[in-house]
Amino acid sequence: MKQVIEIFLSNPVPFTILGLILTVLGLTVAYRKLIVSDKSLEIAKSKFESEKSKFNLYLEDSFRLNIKGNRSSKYLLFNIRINNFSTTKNTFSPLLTIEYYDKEHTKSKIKINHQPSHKNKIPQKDITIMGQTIRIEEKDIKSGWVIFEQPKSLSNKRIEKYSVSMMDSHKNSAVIDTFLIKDIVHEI
Amino acid sequence: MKFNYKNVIDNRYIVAEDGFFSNPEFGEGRLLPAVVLKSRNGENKLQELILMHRRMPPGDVVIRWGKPSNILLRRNILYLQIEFVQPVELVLQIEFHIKDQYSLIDAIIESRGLILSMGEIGQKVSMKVEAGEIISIEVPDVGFDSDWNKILNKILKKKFKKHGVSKKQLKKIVKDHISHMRQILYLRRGVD
Repeated sequence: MKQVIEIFLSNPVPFTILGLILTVLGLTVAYRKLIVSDKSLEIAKSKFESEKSKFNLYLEDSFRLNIKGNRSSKYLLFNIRINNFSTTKNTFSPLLTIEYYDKEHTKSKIKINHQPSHKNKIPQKDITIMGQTIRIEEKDIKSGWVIFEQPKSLSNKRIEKYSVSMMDSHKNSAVIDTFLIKDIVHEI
Repeated sequence: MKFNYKNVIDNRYIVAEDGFFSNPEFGEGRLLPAVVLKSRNGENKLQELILMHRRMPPGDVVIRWGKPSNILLRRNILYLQIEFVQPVELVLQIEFHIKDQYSLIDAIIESRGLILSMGEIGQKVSMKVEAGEIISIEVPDVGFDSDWNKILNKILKKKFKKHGVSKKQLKKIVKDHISHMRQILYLRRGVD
């Protein structure tokens, strides 16, 4: 060790250069590693973002079907479209919230589940009613109808708003409000 | 056939409300689009005609679809001209905004019929049906169907592109949408 120090002290230049080269090499390797780890972080981030639940809900049409006959009943039909932008599959559950004014003129809400079996009670037999849970593949779009029976208790109430919401399997939700609903009068 | 709006009597009506109506003894029991119309110039002749006929067919009617003469400025407008020939003479045009009312236009073309009534915004089709203040007319194919299908495809493609639908999916989504939109029209009677 003493000999190495003596050689270094008698002729320090080559050792200094060697030291510098090693330092530069070390720095280059560290810099490259940093770039690689940055890139992998970026990739992981974008993968996470694309896999994260991301969807849009659109309302194309909305109707109140009044079936006039022995047993007058009203069904609410909404033509909806869901765009699943995520790179993973997802499932969605529809729900309708009706905001109305009760007899005391106070605003109340009622929640109704989409019931595909109501299809048997309406005259539109060939309509594409979506399932109770709607499964959509990655980066796919699904459209169709959701159906709800309007409670008879609302028949003489002023309805303020209909909100169709869609909740996915990660409990994320999207809501569309509509104040206007078209009448379908079906006389038997 | 298409007409140039410049050459017709200007008697425009706008759609205040719309919906559908079906009755076994009305338009062969099929589901027909129904409109509550409002006159642009306050004319009341259509209401007189409706009250005179009440649910009955109003005699001879001539139908034409048309675009405005100044198409560059009013691209989004489509007219349905209805000419009542007998017993009352009346010419009117229903003004449609294609982007917002394409499903109504499509329903008229597909069902080949239309229920007319007059009123204000907020007066629903069901109210007019209750009051019996409606008339039905036939809207036969006047050679506009293929033009309409092209217009419909074009506006839907544009709309869905804005909603982030990829080029690859566009054709299928437009086709599905048109099919779902038209499903509401097809009835099978004799249900609970």
